[in-house]
Amino acid sequence: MLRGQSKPIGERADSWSLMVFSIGGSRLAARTKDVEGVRPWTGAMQVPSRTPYVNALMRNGEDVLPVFDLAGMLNLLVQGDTPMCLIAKRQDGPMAICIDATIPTLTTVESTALYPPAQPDPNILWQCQIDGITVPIYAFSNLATPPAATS
Amino acid sequence: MSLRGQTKFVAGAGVTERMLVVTSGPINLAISATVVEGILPPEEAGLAGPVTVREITYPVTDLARKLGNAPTAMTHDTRIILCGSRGFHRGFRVDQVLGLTEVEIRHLRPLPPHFAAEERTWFKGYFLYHEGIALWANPDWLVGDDPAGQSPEPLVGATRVVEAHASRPGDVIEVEVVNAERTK
Repeated sequence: MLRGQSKPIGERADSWSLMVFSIGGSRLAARTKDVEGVRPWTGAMQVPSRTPYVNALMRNGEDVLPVFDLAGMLNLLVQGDTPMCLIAKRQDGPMAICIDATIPTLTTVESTALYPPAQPDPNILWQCQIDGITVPIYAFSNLATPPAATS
Repeated sequence: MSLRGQTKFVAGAGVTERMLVVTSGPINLAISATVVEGILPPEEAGLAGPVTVREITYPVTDLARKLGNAPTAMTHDTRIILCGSRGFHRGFRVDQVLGLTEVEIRHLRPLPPHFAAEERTWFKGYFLYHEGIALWANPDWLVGDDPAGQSPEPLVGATRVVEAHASRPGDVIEVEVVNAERTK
């Protein structure tokens, strides 16, 4: 069963507040409650790692965040000379994700407009149509975590 | 003199760990001073093969390779760091020595829990270093037995060890390369 899809549509919230962003020109979304913020990407230091897609640390002042390579997971390349940093709230703590330079937007989608992805993906909660484009809604709280570690 | 025995100072507000910070490609790596036994100058850093200092042989490898990256080109900043721990001795070619620094233990942070695999044993954590970050290498991983670190060609010529000058916690300590005897 896909994460977040345990409840029938009628039991879900009437509408979902989403942040829509892009990586490699592809539009993606996440629940706004799963996003801590967006700020300019200031670079990161590589950390040799065998944890899939977690391979850098990003410093912002006194704060240091692990970097999740969502572009790498999706086999995409971040576009733009001034990429943005999306701070995702995963269950084990916030993490930085490098996204396209395009400024993310906020939108609201009725729950009745949500539908499952054609190919089951544990990282995708639902899909929806935004401006006629299919946009996957990523489950940042459990992104790329082993099933046993999810709540 | 080496840097051995020059760690975990009680200075001012708290206990500190003395580290040698080096760069290898995009990575700043901090090596505990207790592990560092010497630094070779650039004219020797470009030569391949193990080095022998005071009857101790150090197989030399690129730190970049140890960190999973491709070695970078030699520059005038390239050095070989001689390390020893628990009976193992190894040398690492690094891009640059940034300096010796003392870090208060309370400023050393573990890797975030997102890092969930072997890297947790490779690095004891990290700390803020100037405008960036330095990873704190686990000496057992860095210097422990690793056949990949063997190098077949002997190094010829004199060698050096490092002498450091103490400073306040958080300050970069100037590293001075001084002459030392070499045993064959």
